[in-house]
Amino acid sequence: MNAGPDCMQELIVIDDITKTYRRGDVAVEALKGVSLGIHDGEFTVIVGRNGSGKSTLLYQLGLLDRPDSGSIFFEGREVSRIPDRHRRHLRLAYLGYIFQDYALISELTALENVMVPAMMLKNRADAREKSKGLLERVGLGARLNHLTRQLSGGEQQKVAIARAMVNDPRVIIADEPTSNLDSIAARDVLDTFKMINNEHGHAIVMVTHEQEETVYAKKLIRLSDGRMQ
Amino acid sequence: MIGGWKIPFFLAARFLKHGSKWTFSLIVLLMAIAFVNLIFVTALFNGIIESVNNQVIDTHMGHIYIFPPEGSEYIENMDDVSARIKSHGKVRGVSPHLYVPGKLLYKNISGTWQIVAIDPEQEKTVTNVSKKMIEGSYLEKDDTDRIIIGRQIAGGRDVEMNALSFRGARAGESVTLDVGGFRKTFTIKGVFYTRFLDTDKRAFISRKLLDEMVPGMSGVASSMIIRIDKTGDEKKVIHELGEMKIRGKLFAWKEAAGYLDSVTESFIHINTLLTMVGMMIAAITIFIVIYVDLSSRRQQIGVLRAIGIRPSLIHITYILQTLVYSLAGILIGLLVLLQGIVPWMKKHPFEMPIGDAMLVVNYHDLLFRAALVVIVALLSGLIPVFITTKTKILDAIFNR
Repeated sequence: MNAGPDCMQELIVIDDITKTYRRGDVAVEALKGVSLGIHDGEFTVIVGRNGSGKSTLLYQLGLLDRPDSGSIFFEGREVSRIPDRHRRHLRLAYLGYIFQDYALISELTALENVMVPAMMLKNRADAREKSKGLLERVGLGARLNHLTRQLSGGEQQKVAIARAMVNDPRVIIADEPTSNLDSIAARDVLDTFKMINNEHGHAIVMVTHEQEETVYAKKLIRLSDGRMQ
Repeated sequence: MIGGWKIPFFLAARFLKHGSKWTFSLIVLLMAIAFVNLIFVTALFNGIIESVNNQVIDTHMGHIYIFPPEGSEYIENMDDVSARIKSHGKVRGVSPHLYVPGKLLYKNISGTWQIVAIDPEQEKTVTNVSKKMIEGSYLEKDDTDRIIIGRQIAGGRDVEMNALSFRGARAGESVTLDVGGFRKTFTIKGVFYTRFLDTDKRAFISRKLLDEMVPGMSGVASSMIIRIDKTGDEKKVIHELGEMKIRGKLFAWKEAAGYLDSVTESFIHINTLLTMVGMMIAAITIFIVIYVDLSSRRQQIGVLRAIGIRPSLIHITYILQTLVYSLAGILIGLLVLLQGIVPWMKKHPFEMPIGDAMLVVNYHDLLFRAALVVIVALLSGLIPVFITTKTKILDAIFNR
């Protein structure tokens, strides 16, 4: 596969990437030649068992790691080998990443957590307004000034979602966003994703190992032992 | 990128506000202790050096010492010379000294001590021996059969040179001065204790007596000592006195007491050495504390990188925090030092054989050490953050 006309129709194209980790003396082949495409506005769910390579794939999509081989294209541009500063800008402006354990900054309030990436692109007042609006949208209007440690797991995940959305990214990438939540909070978070996908048109790539969450998918990708099925 | 530069201030302020108060307090306390430690040793040595210097000036030779001119044994026309020196605007007092080459006899003990004939009133304008009487009283101009002796001559149990002394001579007792077979008996009017060994080995008699005993020596001095308004102006005043054609060899107290200069030089070297050791200990302590604190923030730094914050802004964020730690530490250290330790030491100085040593804190030392604490803290903060922003984002986030 190359960055030809097909790639231009897709937001992100992953082409035959491999990734091997070392755990002590053991080499773990996490991805063994995975290729896929993410289209604009698409809700993609990646499922697989533990150790299937889901999170590794997501890190590649989120430009948080580099593949050992293969290529990643963003809007037709090869991005797996570009300098860190360019990848950082893509993460900031075009990608929103939601970590499994929220990865919020505990010394900041819900509002401040969302504001930080926005302040890189907007002035503070605009960043604040935008963040406030997003938090209200995800149902946290009354919790704006609470420190994240004062929020429940579901609320923290919603803060992470709002943070991922704050710079109007083209794609939101979520790594098992419901794994630490109870069923009600999990449903709430998934509904939020659905709303984001429908109303804002953000492409969403979500990893899960919960089979029932695949109902949200417009596109389902199954990973097993580092390969797509 | 609009507004990105505000992020470090925004984050640093919140990290400090909402971070662990214990961690903050501990780091600031350590910074304060490191700073006080750095200053304390230097201030103490400054105090010791100042004490030695003051003792030399205040008890022994004033600021300027005049030896007889080349080829002469005495300074002639001392009253005239004194008057001319006193006319200098910066001179506060002049006291001619005439050394009496003789022995003192007390009971069956005899010893050769430096016996100095002085005008007691003039001596008061230069030295403070008159205020250091521990027994009896100071000389008066008309005391022609009285002598005051230093504690090292009088002797006593706790006296350093007791073995060579009169081993307990007291005010009111008699001593005999033997000058080449000519003897005169004096009553010990008082014993002084300046805590400066060279002064406490002296005995003073009234100049009036000597002039009566040896009229040929009237009007001459073996040396003259001068007190000026301000320590440090010696060279300038010596130069100006030279222009006034004052006959004699004029030396600043530091040159005249060259051996003491080497003592203070030694103190300065020890101080430098201890300061360097103190600085290394402070640097290592500060480095470890800041390093541990910031190393525990790897995940935080990883998250900031993951969401697209520029590494340079992350560096500045933690540098600002470290700056606040160090400035707070310095401020608290200064308060403890200047409002607590220095005033306390003023009331309770270290009693040393050479005099009382207090803490002498000078602006230059404070500034240098404060700058050192800040620089070490900033480096200590920058290194772990720099390393973390160079590691893989995922390794930072998952603390691998």
